[in-house]
Amino acid sequence: MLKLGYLGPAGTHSHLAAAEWSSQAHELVPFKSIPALLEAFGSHQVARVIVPLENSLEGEVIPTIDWLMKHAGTNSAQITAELFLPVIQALMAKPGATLEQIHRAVSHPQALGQCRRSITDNHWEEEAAASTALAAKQVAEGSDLTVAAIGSSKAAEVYGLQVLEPDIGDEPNNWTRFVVLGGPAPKPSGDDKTTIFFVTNNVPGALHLALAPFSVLGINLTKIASRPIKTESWKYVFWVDADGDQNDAALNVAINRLRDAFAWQVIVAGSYPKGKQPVVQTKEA
Amino acid sequence: MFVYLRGDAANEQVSRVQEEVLAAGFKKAVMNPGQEVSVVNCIGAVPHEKKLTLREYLLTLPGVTDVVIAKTPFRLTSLLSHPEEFTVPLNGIAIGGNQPLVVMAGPCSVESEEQILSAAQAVKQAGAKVLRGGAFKPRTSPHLFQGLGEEGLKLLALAREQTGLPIVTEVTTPELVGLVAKHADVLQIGARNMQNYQLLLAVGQTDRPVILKRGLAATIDEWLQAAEYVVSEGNSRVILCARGVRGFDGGYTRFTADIDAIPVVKGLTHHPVMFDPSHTAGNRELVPSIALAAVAAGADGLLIEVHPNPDEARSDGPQSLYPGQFAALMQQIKAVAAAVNRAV
Repeated sequence: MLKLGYLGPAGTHSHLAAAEWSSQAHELVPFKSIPALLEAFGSHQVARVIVPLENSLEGEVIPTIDWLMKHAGTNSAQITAELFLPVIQALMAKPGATLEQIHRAVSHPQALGQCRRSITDNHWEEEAAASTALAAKQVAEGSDLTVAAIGSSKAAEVYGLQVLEPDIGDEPNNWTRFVVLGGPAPKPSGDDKTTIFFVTNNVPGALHLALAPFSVLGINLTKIASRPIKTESWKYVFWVDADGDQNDAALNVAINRLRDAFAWQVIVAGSYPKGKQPVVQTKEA
Repeated sequence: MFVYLRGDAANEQVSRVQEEVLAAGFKKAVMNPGQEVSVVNCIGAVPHEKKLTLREYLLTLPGVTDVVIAKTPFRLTSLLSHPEEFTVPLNGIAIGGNQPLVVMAGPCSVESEEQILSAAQAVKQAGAKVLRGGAFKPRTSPHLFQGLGEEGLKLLALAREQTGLPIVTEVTTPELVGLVAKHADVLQIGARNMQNYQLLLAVGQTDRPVILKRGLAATIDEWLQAAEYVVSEGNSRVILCARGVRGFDGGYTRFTADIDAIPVVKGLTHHPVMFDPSHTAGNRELVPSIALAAVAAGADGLLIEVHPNPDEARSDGPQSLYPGQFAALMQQIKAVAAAVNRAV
């Protein structure tokens, strides 16, 4: 059975995403950090990985993006699937603890960021952990009733914690976009997305020139972001998600125009069927 | 589809390929290990488009050197599935590839202890490496001698004991496979049983080398697909044996010698190809010419009928060689083999 790596340990949101995507077709293997996960993938210890790419509240997941910008499109590192998972952050503590007792919240920095209002309102101290599940594990292994972990209710189940609040997230529309790396290019579904990275020089109108063909050819872009290139100051990698498959006539032309203008710096990280986005809800104040 | 890996590819690289292939929808991913090149033979109906993307992806994996998408009805026996030398091992000798030509000889039928022992000694002395002899005979007419049955098998085993020659004998029904395999070193499927699929499956479940004769009116495609039946059950030790096909010169030859089948089949499959000059000739005067032609055409072995006293033979007397004729033929075989760079 092919191995699917995810950001562990068991009980993380990544674990839920892996379980939802894989549906028993893969052996799920946890890794302790995103860099460790991606390194294992790069050295073929696992055949596929599911990694968080961005969160609707926190933005891009930097270790994933940096790795993709460096490695995507080469060899077997293609994005082959996309999955949106709603993130519901629960507050959990040792059995016997009460909400009033809690002084400190432990979690992954992104989860802490997603619960900023609750943390501030309750005057909790913050402590960073490598993952939400590891935070739950840490709380479970300690004896401090004043410490709570923030993570998925799955983590409470896995580590035997008591859920004090099932949903302490600031925003109702908290979802994480995961991508699967590895495997053959998927068959175009008719409703696809293509992820492209490219580098522009620092000249007037560079980004405009790069994007003009997409506009002229009527290709919808669902994402534009930039990251500095670490090796060169004041140069940027742009990340674009375009509607369509890279072999669609229009998108193919746009990508080729991009290649003409930015030769070595255009990376097509993969075309894949669009994941199903969660329905936007409103949360009562 | 065939995935080629370096011969020294790590086990996990091979199993990764097999897992990817199965995940893509193939039913089987059969591994044929080799020195320089190993092959994962992918079997199953997968849309061509999917094969193309899988091929592109597999080429990025460590250890993979090539991926060939080929439509062939010979999924297991195709040369593509085994590009390196393939031989069938038999009691210390190997048949096929660049190995020496193997001559198998003996009477059509086992008739008596004296007859089979005398034949065995004679063919061994002349240089045969395997003793042939029929115990269960599928005859054209039910009124003809049908063979000694199990008694014949025991006599063959006795001859093996005395001469050290491994024995090949025909098996005619699935029910008899167990019994024949118990005594014989090589199982022979006769021309008339080439498409007896239950029998093919039954010999496929043994670990004995199988000589599969070409049906007397079977096409090469049908013949190789019959071989697929045997290999599909797990027995890859199949040796093909041409033996003449139905022609229209019945007055002079029993069948038309399909010498051309030898190079044709060698271009399609890695399995060894033998020739039986006795059955195609039907007349001992023609046997040497056809045998030598088969050697020149690249046959990996010959299956020749030799009887200590052909005039008294209970079957196929007219096409059986006298022991002296066989010994003389062996010398000619060696000369022709040497001319085509083949040892005997």
